[in-house]
Amino acid sequence: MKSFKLMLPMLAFVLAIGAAFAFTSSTEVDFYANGYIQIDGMWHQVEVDCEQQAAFDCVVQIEGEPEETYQVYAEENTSTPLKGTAPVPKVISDPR
Amino acid sequence: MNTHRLNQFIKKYSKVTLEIIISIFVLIFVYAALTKLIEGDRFYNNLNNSPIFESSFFASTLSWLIPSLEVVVSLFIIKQKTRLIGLYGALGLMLVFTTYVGGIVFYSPYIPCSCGGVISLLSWPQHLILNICLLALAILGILLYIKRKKLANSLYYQSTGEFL
Repeated sequence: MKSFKLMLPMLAFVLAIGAAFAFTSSTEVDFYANGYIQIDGMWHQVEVDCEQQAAFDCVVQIEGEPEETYQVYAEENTSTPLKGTAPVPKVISDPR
Repeated sequence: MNTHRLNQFIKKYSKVTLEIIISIFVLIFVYAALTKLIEGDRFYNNLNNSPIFESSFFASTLSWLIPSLEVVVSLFIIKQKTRLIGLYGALGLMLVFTTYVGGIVFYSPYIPCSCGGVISLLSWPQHLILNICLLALAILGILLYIKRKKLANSLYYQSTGEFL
């Protein structure tokens, strides 16, 4: 009876572990490539949660470099700028 | 309803209800903790870009502290002897999360994106409602556990003349 009391929470524990790995998208090829920014003429992939339609421009700032901001684009050209939900630049780690 | 009937009602339904509450919290906390650990960069970026936290120090500290606490609380809840401590821990965590989400919904200058996992399908206000429900479940779990403990002590005393 005591082991039965432990069984249900343990089953929940195992189910949660399975669900975490099943629903995570970190193994996708483009998981870390949600957009592109151009630094000194070169394109770099960045991970940001931006989309085509939102209220503000999707702009990022590299951590440690507060003076520069970069517009994020959907592809490696400037014709598809992404939009974001925040009016302030997102701080990201250096993609170079 | 007299005391005897109330005790009968609690005795009949509280065990199952408590087991369900415990399983829900174990499922949610372990899932949330592992998701945050697996997608660590994303969680750190979400915290770093949060309108509530001004410093990246908080983001880096919380990005490992919160999942660790969730796992510890889950383990405490699973183990029978530390179940009440675990439930109080769950209550504390839900209070913190609800306060944070409430701050985002009502006081934040803008609504950030906090994407990832199954729960990202919810909007921030929906997330707040979910958190409030889980908070209520934590309180119910604690009350049921304490009530069942008192009932068990009372029945044991009635049958043996001693306390557990």
